[in-house]
Amino acid sequence: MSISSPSVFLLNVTGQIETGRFMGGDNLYFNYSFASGQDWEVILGLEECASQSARRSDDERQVFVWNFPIDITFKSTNPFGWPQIVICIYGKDFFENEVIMGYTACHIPITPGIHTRRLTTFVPESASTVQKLMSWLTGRRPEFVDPKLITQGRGREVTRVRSQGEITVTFNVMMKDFAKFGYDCGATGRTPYLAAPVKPPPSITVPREGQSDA
Amino acid sequence: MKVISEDIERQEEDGSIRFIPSSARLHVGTQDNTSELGVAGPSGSERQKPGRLRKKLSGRPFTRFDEPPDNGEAVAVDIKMRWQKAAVQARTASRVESQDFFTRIWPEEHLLPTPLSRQKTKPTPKHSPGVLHGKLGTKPTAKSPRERSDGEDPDDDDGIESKESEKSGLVASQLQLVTRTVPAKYLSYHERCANDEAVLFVPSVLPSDLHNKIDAGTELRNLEEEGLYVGEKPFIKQTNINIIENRLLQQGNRNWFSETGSLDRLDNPISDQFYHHLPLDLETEEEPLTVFVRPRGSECLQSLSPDDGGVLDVELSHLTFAHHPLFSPEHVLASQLTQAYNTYVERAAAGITKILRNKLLVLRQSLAKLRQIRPDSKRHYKTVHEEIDSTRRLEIYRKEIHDCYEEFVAEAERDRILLANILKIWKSIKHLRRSNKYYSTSLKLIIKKEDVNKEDEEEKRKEELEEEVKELLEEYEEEYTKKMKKYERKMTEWKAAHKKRKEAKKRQQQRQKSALSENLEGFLLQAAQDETILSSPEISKPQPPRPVDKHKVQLEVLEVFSRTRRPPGEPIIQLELSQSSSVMENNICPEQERRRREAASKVRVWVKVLINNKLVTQTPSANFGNDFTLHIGQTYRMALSSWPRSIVLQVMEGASLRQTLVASTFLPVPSKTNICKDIFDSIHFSGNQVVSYKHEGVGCGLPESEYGHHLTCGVVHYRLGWALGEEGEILAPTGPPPSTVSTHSPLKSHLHPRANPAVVKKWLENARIDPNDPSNAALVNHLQKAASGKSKPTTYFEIDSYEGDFCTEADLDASVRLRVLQLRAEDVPEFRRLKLVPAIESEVLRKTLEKYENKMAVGTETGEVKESKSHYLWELDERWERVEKLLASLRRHMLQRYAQASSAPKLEDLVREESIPDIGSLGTSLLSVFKARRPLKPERKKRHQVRGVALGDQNVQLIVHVARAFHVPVRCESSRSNAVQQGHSVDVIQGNSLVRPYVEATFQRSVLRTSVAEGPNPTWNQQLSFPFKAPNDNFSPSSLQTVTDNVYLHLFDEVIHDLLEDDRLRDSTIYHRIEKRWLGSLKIPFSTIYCNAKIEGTFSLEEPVVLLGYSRESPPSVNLGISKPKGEPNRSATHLSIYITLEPTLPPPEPLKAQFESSEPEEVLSAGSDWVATLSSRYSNRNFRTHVLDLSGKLVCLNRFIRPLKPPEELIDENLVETAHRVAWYVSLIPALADMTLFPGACDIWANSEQFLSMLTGDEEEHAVLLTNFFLHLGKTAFLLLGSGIPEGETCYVLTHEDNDMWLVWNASTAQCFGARDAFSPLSAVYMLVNQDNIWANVQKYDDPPRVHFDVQGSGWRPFFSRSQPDPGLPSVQPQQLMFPDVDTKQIDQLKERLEITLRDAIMKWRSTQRTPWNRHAISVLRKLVRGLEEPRATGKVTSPDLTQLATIMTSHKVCGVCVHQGYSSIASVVEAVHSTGVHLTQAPDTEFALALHLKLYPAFIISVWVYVASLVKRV
Repeated sequence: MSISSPSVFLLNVTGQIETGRFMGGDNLYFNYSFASGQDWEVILGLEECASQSARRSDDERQVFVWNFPIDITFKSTNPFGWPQIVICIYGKDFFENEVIMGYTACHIPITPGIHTRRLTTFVPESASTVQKLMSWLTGRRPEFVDPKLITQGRGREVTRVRSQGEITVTFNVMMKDFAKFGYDCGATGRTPYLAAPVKPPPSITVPREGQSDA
Repeated sequence: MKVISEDIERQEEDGSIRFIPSSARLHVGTQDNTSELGVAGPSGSERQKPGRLRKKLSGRPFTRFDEPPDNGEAVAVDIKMRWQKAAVQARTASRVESQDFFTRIWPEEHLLPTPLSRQKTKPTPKHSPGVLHGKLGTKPTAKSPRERSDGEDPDDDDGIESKESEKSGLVASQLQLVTRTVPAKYLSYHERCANDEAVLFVPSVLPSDLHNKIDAGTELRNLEEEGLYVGEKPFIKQTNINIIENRLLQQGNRNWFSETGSLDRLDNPISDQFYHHLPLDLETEEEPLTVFVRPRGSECLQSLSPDDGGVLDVELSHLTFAHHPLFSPEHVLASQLTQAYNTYVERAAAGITKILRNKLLVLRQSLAKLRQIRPDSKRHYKTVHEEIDSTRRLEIYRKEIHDCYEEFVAEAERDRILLANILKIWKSIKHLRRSNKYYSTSLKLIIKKEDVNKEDEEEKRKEELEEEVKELLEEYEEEYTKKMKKYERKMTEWKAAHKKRKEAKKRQQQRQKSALSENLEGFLLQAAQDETILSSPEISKPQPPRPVDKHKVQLEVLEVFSRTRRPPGEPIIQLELSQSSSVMENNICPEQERRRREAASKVRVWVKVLINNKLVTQTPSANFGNDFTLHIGQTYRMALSSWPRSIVLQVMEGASLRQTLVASTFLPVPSKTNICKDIFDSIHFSGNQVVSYKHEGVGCGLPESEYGHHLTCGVVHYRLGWALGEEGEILAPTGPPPSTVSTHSPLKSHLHPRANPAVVKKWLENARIDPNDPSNAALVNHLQKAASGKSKPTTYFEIDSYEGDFCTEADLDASVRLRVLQLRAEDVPEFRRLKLVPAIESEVLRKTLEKYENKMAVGTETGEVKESKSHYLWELDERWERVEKLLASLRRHMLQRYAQASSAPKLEDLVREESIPDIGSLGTSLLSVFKARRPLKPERKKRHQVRGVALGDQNVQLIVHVARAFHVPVRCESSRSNAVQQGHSVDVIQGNSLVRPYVEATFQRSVLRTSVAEGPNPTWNQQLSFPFKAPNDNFSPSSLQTVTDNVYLHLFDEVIHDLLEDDRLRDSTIYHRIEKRWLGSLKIPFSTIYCNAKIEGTFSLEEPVVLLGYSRESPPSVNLGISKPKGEPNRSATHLSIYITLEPTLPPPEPLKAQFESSEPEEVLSAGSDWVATLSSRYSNRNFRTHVLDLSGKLVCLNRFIRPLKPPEELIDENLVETAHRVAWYVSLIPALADMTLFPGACDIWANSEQFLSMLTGDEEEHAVLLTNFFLHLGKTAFLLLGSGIPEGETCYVLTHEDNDMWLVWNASTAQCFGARDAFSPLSAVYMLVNQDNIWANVQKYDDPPRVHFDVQGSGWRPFFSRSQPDPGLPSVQPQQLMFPDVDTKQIDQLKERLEITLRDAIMKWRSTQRTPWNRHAISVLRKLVRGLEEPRATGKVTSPDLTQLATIMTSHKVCGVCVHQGYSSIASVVEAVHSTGVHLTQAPDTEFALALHLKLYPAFIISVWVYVASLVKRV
């Protein structure tokens, strides 16, 4: 592995898990984790984290605000298995039991820039009405064995879920060396074009041959 | 008193001093009271009657700010009262009233605080609280101005004085008022009641009198009876309604009541259903919490440094609507006229007709020339070649003239039609203008007529006509002559045939007349020929072609002329379209038109430019004029960072706030070298809205309207190109332009590249594709060309080749990286866990791939070898290897076959949930409360299974609990040494025990041991736990099944040698050497543990055949009272009680539920499953089955595996018992391999005996089947016994019935045999018996072998095949007879030699720190010994080995030796077995070693291997 030419590309994700909207429950907290394919590796940052617990706002918006930062850098050799963020929200139910309030996952945006994602969350349903009653009484709601299951499609057909609330996440994505491997993610990161009225400024910078982004 | 106390209260509440004068307090109190009164419903009359408080209030002295008492106070109170009342009413009234309350205009003149009063309240300095306290109640207090302004009443004036205002006398008097003390007054209860009665009103709950509710004059109605709809009123309790009614009546308001005499109420407004409107865009619904502010783009153009971007110029000139909903009918016509005129001008400019005419002329001339030369100049031709050439030229000319003429006619006709069309439109415009009496367009068509001389024209025309007629005639004549020639040729043919026919007929008639003839042969021949001639069908007579009719041709030409040429005498018309006529003024126009014009003038139009679907810029909006043209005339310069994918113009339209997208159109992305052209391009756009107006505007998209059936459309004139830089270079983006956008056009998949345009057009009409979509541009263009007929349509239509693939299949294979990625995706074990596959080709590890590919290549080779069935001839060494490969391929095959069935995850794998409690468990858990507690009898808790992914990072442990052992052999040496050589006993420390055993467990290369216990029946009760490493850290069942590790439990005797020579040091020094001696071992495959979740029981150990220096303590025959059957071997093995499990419990593999195919009849299969189901429901812990899978994956009934098969000839003896043992021994020599590791996922696969012998590996089932088959052949009554054994779990044994009415159970894989009633038999449960005829299930109460009756005819067994379900009689899957190929003994010798060398080297290697000398004498002695071991073992005789030979060595050496035996599978396994004996571990100095080997070869390459390893230490 020579140092001069890169053998991996880098993906830096910063951002915030900002707010959530949930019916019922209070004192919500979440933990997030990143799931990615085999060719991906975290080189810096927290891969898993739990947030502070937040209370519902008193105003009419009734939101839970966490403003929880994400900051992670991946390296990879293959875009297959693009990292996904998995967020599991927990909270207290009516009987003060700690229950799952929602699962959600989404891919990290694949273009650089600022992205806001509004992720609706869901929880698995009980298999039967009796179990539902039981789980309500005992406060042990059905949960996924592994939250990262929701990043895959395999086996999901056997589960039943109910949507419950939503969560807003902002990502700031930066990329490095994607173009060198031939992946075009709009990786220049610039605003693609700008329009100006007819009179161009006299000193317009002109693209010249031989210039590259290297 | 009351007032004062209230004042104090105030102070206490707020902490700050706030003084509200008593008058104000009183007033507030009044308010409160009145509000109460309001609830009670004070009527107007009551208000006049002042209450008690009112009396007080009225008694309040007036300030100068007050109005005169008689009206001011009353009005003020009245206002308040009114508000209060209204509020109360609002509260109590229904919705309508409340609405009424808010909307009603209250006619009150508001009595506002006058500005005067505000002026007079002056700011006063605040008093300190201390002062206030002191003067409380007596001294005047001030209210801060702010408070005053907060004060609720304008007339609650308190005119607080300050020192300055003390001058005013009024204020001074007021002071007194405020602080006046009122003495407490007692009101008697009756008085109070009377007061209350006067003031309060308690509405009755009884229904009120109907007559009070309606006016006396009106009649009571019943709406429902009148047939009017009466909606359902919201439910209110009747008493509440009554209360309300009474209250309202008390107030005297009758307008609350309807004519029906009930309260006027609205219907229930609440809908039964409920809806929840989800906001479509949640973002817009609420204000975002974080707002993103875009960066300002002012300096962006400079800072952009477009190193690879470009600058694009878009110049928009003007936009013209060809149709617009606001068009008047005249506009529609005008637009049509303009279009037609434009076409006219275009055509006139192009002059196609003229060109064609000239061309025709020239062609004709040259043709004439050619003709002139031709007729008389045959001699001019120099060669024949030239002549042919000239003929051909003539032909070409003719053809071209013909084509040209056709084209000319078509064009000329088009011209004429166009002209006529224009004139027609113009006429209708004129007509419209006349009838409308106003002009709304300024179009004017000027028709210039050029008169012509009619005679000349006619003459000319005649000439032309003649010429053309002549030409046509010529053509036709030529055709005629051609046809004529053809006709003549045909005619002659026909004639000849006809003639022949006639002759033949004639001859036949003759023959019939004169039957005799001299030349019979010739006659017959003739007759046959005639026959054929006559029988062949008669050729119809050809029709002569019609001669050319000159008249007809003339008519034809004339007809064409009339269509295409100007008739003679008709003036030549020149058209000119101008905008010269004036549009009528608005005020002259009728209402309809005026409104249309107004609407048109309001509409503003602008164009948006979108690049890559993002708005880049838009033109200023403007009105289109009367001509519906928007002049833009702007150039927009845009800096692009990359190639634009699409450039879209959107025509927008809007009046005031509303804006709509009229249409959008795609501009072609300019190529790299395109700069702005001089000429404007035009592009059409068309919208799809449907609009209709009430005014004169025609609307659009209205199919039934005369003018408005068009959609809005128009043309934009634009220029597009890359800008030029300072040095004149083109500022196009660098890099290649993106491939055409049209890669994913739907057309690609549908159309053949050379599709007929007509077909394409038809398809297009059906498909309704969007002509504005750039992806369809090529097609639309093509169709337009074809439709307009301007150019000759190309006969095919090109479509780009598909460009969607990343790379070709070949690239995929060629690239190492992609190949590795592919393999990883396929879950190939070598690549499964590969991480970070390098992105660069050169960095990929090729080695792994190459290795894998080599392996694959070998694998396929093996497959071929397998086909050729030559495996018997394999070299010995290769055999095992080959078998392994065969198995691997088989496994792969199976895996592929059942991959889908086994991979479907279950809900429990994904969701963790409390399991539903069933009645049983609920009951027991409830009962457990009442159960007596028995703390001394702990019960085993059921452990939860951990499933699937959750195991990922857990560490799973294998727990081995070693409890105790029985019958451990003891050292006989010690006793002997005691007896014989007392002096030497010093070196062996003797406790009370004769043996010091301990257990050493080995699993996955880690070794743990228990402590040392004493005696032949030791107890350890020790727990050893091993960390379990799953392959590739994958804990899924499929990967766990492939674990081939074994748990080895070795029982060792620890011998401690005291090396201390000097007895005097004994008190202070210990000098010991510890030796371990192998006493036996137990091997438990991991798969067994995994499958059964736990292994528990007492197992007999596999012991060394000859254990030198040890003997059993107790004679085994006393074991049980049963007399030992003949031939039963000594059952005195050492037993070990253990418990093995996994912590946490891993989920066992699920049995495959996939439907397997079978060649058996359906009813047998279904009967089998029924049989199994009924039995399983009754005996849940017994495992029944009727069908198992064979190697090809088909279900086969168990009894078909059983068939008498002849064992190898060598094994058969006269002694039947001996033969049986020999056969069992033979079978047991075949190496065993658990099913599960063989076929993960599909647990129960049985191979037939032939396959078993060729694979030379299998598990208990195969062994047992083979043994049963052999036994049956030997004439024994034998059954295949399915049951549960130790340690195998579910297993197969063989049951035989002996002569002395004894049942013997054979373990086929160890060749052990024991009585069915043996207490220590490894068989723990009997489920089923199978022989070649039937299958029986154990339906007895017990299933442990000593208590089972084995008589299958008895009631304790239920047969599968019975009278109701007869055996279908399917043939056995076993072959007729087994082939046992002969073996080359030379190979055995070679193998023996190699094995010996390998083992010696291995032992020397293991003892790397010490020298390993070999004792030759001992070796030769051992060789003799080991050779004698095979025979007695094979025949099952119990004979103690002849140790006389050893005795000599034993006298001089202390010998510790172990003999290992196994069926040969591979050298490695032999080495492993020797290693496990631990003989090499001895640390005694000067130890010598001896190793002897014996290989006994059996048919079919089954080899019995004996290895004797011994360590010798010289006795001192």
